[in-house]
Amino acid sequence: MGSPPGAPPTDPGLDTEAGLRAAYSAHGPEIYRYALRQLGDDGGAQEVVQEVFLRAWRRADSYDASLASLRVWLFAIARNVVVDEIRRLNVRPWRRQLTDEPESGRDSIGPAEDALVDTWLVEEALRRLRPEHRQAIVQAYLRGRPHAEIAAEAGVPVGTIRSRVFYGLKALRLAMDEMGVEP
Amino acid sequence: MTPDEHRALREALGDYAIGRLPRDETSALQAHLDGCADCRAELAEISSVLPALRRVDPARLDHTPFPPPDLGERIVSAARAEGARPRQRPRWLPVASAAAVAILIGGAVGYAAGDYDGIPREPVAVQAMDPAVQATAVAIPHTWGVEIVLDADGFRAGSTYRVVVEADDGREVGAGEFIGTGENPMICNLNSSVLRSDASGFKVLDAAGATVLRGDLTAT
Ligand SMILES: [Zn+2]
Repeated sequence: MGSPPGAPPTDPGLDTEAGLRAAYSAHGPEIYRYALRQLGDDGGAQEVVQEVFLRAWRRADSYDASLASLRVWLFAIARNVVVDEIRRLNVRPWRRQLTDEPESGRDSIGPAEDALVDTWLVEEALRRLRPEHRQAIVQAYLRGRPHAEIAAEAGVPVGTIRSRVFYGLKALRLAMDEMGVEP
Repeated sequence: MTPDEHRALREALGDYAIGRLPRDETSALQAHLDGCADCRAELAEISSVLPALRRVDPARLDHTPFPPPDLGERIVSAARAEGARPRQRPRWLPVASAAAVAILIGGAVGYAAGDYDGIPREPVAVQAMDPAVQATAVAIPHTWGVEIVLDADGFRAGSTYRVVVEADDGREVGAGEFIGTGENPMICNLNSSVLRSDASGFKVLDAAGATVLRGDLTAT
């Protein structure tokens, strides 16, 4: 990743404090937003993030970089932890008011939650785009504003907004691919 | 058509996909799409994000929640309190070559059965539909679901495979994905939310959805 080709491995292992810190700063905030979206509760989301990184720390030797990116591996753990947490909320009815879902005691993530995850993923992917690409997509598509208006605001020709919509959608597809989303 | 003219048509695909291309330009673009496979592929690629994009609330993008600044340090302290983990084999090795994969994985085979972290590992009978695939598997019952550790080679190099755990009540729950390593052996940990007691089996599916390998979890 960051190291030049042929250099000895410089990544500290996930079972070292430096490695844990590095993994947290790279992926912690995104996992937090994922958990927050799923649980609708800040305290619960913090607990999930803590549990994800502690499980990763305990099982550092089962992480194999040749099989999955660290992000994909952490999110596989995060998904399990969130399922646990949802289950826990279900058996403690007084905490149910903190979250809108799930509505039943099913232990799998159903279609409604899948849609929620997809939407969250697109939001995270949009956050990774260059601001002008994100703005073009948000203003032209999500807010439905005329290109001329967006162009005037940004101080660019109308044609530029069109090309930003195109390259923005391409960049969004790429960001989603990197996040492991199937088209 | 000049390259510039083609670029203009291609860039119009974004507006076309989101339904914002003016009517007078639409028929020209549609005529071009009929004869240009590149632009059809481009259109399919950018259109694939739209269903999920439609559900995004733009107001949410203005607000990006962050965890409290001390959460990272709290996690490191909690990990420190648990103590250092025993280092059993090298990890996080960048993959320099196929040979490196084999060495890395080869070193791990020793602990694929028996107890690990005090949790029993249960051998699972597997049957591969593809004769190239050689595999053994163990199941680990966690409190949060069953984990399948697949030790295999012969899954097509570079192809993506999906694993689902089958539950007694007929549900199929995703347990993750892996990429085949060809002749190089691999060990893959697959986690599902189905509890061991509710799990009847698992399947490895190829990109087309065909079952490549089955594991039987009915034995108790
Ligand atoms: Zn074309």
